[in-house]
Amino acid sequence: MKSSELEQAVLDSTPLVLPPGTRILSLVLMGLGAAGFSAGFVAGRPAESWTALLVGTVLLIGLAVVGIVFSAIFQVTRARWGRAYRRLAEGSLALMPPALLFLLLFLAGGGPYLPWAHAEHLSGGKHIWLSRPFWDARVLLCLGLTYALALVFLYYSLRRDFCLPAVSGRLQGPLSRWLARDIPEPAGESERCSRRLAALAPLLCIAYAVCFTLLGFDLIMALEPQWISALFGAWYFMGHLFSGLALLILVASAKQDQYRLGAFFSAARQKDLATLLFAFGLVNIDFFWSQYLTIWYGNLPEETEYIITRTLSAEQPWPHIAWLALTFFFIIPFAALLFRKIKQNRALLGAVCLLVIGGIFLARFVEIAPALLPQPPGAGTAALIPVLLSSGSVLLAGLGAGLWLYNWFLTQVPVLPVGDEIFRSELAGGGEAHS
Amino acid sequence: MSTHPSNDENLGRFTYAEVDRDILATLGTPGKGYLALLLLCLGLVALGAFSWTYLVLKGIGVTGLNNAVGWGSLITNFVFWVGIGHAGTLISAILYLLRASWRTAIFRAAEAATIFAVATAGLFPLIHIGRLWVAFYLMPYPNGRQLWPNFRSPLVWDVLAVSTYLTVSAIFFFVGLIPDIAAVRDRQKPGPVKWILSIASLGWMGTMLQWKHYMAAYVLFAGLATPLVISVHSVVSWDFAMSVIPGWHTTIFAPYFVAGAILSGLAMVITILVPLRKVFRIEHIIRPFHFESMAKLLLFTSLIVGYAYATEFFIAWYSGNPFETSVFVYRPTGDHAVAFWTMVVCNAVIPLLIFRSRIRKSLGALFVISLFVNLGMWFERFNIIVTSLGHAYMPSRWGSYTMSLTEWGIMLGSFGWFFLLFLSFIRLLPAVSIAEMKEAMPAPAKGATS
Repeated sequence: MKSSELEQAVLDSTPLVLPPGTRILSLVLMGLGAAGFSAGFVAGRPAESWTALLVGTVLLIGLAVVGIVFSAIFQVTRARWGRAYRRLAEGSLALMPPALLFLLLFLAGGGPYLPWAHAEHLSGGKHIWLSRPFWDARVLLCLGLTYALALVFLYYSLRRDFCLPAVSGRLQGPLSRWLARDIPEPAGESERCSRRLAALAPLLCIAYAVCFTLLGFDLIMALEPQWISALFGAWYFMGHLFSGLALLILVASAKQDQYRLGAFFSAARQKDLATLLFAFGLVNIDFFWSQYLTIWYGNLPEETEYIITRTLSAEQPWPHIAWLALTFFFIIPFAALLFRKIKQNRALLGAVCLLVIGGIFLARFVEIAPALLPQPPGAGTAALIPVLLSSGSVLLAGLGAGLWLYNWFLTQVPVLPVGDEIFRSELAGGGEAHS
Repeated sequence: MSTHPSNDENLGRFTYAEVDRDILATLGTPGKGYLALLLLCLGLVALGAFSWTYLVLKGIGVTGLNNAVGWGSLITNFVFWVGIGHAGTLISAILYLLRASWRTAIFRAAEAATIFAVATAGLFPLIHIGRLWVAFYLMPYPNGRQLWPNFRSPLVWDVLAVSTYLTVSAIFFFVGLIPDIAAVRDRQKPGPVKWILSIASLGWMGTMLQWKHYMAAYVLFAGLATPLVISVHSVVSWDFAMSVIPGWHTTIFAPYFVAGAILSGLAMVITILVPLRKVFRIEHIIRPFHFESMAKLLLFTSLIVGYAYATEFFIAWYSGNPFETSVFVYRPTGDHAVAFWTMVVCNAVIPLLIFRSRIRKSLGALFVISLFVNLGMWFERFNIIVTSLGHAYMPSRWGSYTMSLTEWGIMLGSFGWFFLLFLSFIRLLPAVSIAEMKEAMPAPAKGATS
């Protein structure tokens, strides 16, 4: 495909207006989330509302950045095969506003429900580490730093596309005009953007790993102040990469028809994505098992209590959720993704992706909720349904708001990274056929 | 932007005949340098054999081990060599599945390093138990006394994991060699060598059907080997993490050990390949581009290892566990602080130089960095093993450890053994895969074959 033909094809696929039904669907989901969040307050159980908000937030803050991290990973590895998905992945920034809003809301109102906030004694460095406002500042700093780097990376990625006259001439939305401003020498500017992207990509990946490790410790592990797991931070950020990839596959599948992207998203590429999902699933379960086995075998009470409450106790309702989560994020996807036919079938692969996201959501729920909502012995799983539904609705509200922004974002920029040299060379047939 | 030619550009310069000629030339008459190296390795092996014999005759007391530090350099060497054995399978299996075509020029040497490193590692548990004639107790076998190994012990998991890894890696290595053994066979005059190679090449004729089955088997073995790369060093890490020794019992150990193993394996592959390409005049086949790609992987794993170092310290401080905190204060400040700081500087600081494009494109710089990483990874194992055992729980049982001359002899012998095996291999079989080089060549070059 010639460069001009490629640019034309990409621009023809780029929508200039929001797809029909976007606003309504987003508003419905946001309304659902508001209702779910309010339900606990209305019922006189505010802890449930704050728990639901925290569960939704810890997922959204990661999903909001992980798409841009994937784009950075493609940049660092110089991978050819996944280039076409870069822009759709970068659209994850649409989740940043709701994620930040939810987090600020939790910091403003959920603080009193943090178990360590009123613990009588915190051992070791916890009395310093788990003190407010240090905790709040750290959470905001970690998230702010990662988001800032991600946005700068995204800026250069988009700006490079607008160095192409065809793109800046066709797309005229407010974001498009801002990205296309002051480009007197397009070739030089494109080269500058590429250099900046090459420098920023590893920085973003490192910042993501470090900052989300700390966020995992602060937002989840610290809820049980006596419990520690050195791998917990990595388990947390790996969960985002896993569920983020599942979300990307779902989005790509939906947009493929909506924006006529079939020529760029071949069945072989979809299979590659599915294989990558399988690989992330294995890493994810490796991190899970490395924690579980070490704690189980060590049999130290300060470590096992956390595991027993959530996965083994017959008196607690949590184990049902925990095993359901494991089934969703590992057992079914692992078994399903062994089969090539499932990887190549969009509907079946989409179902697997939904399970992965659901499984990670349930895993976060079962990590957070027992600390904030301790259940009396003998409580049934049914007692958890209201807070589980609230948590799900908060997540859906965030995704709903994100959907609106995401679709708007795709009206402002090319739906494929048309300025990316490797993407262009791959389509021109100059690349390695199998890389 | 890389100024080195890409893998495709590099491969596009050859014809099939040139690939055959240049790679098979490495099997010609050895030079003086090669023979000198071989002699040095033989000398080291003799020293190792002498030291081991001395240990067997006199007992484990000739080592520096004591009541507090019951595992020392022998287990350090075991973990170190198992780690070295990771890069080969990473490069040959995982990068194959990821379709990283740059692996073609280097994977054979890396695979050989894997097999020989794991074979070297396997010696150390035997040496460490002192009475090696009772080593068969580790194996589960039916016996009249109803004696079985304790399957709940991670040490038994280790025996199973390492032996499985060695078996699968060896088969994978052999399968990859079959077309090349046939290529060597076809150049031999009739005689015993040709007869042996004919048997070893399993009747390979290079027919379409054979290639079809071969590729299916190769993918299958790559798929089998990949989880084993992860599992084997995870299980090695659990030798430590399953205990409740401070500094050992931590959930991060499995991925941390796997990353460390890949780091050390890559460093060893770079250490081997930089002189190898020069000595055998295959600089035009193993090019700076390949080293740059390996350097990036090395940097990536170094960052993971650095992350694990930092996390361990943070968690020790955060937990407030006095025993844990005590060990993590002891490591950078105690008797073995040199080991700790060597580990940190060599594994987590020096590799950061690879961020500079100029450094990762300089083979000399990469060679020096790889030597530092080799050193650092040995000290990492030493630091983990010795400091935790020497400083666990009650001060009344604390102790220190110094390697005895016998242990030095055994360790040097293991290096001699590893390099002896490697040097022998590169004289007998192609150190670069002829078949995969040809397969990866762009179509016009294939057409230009003789």
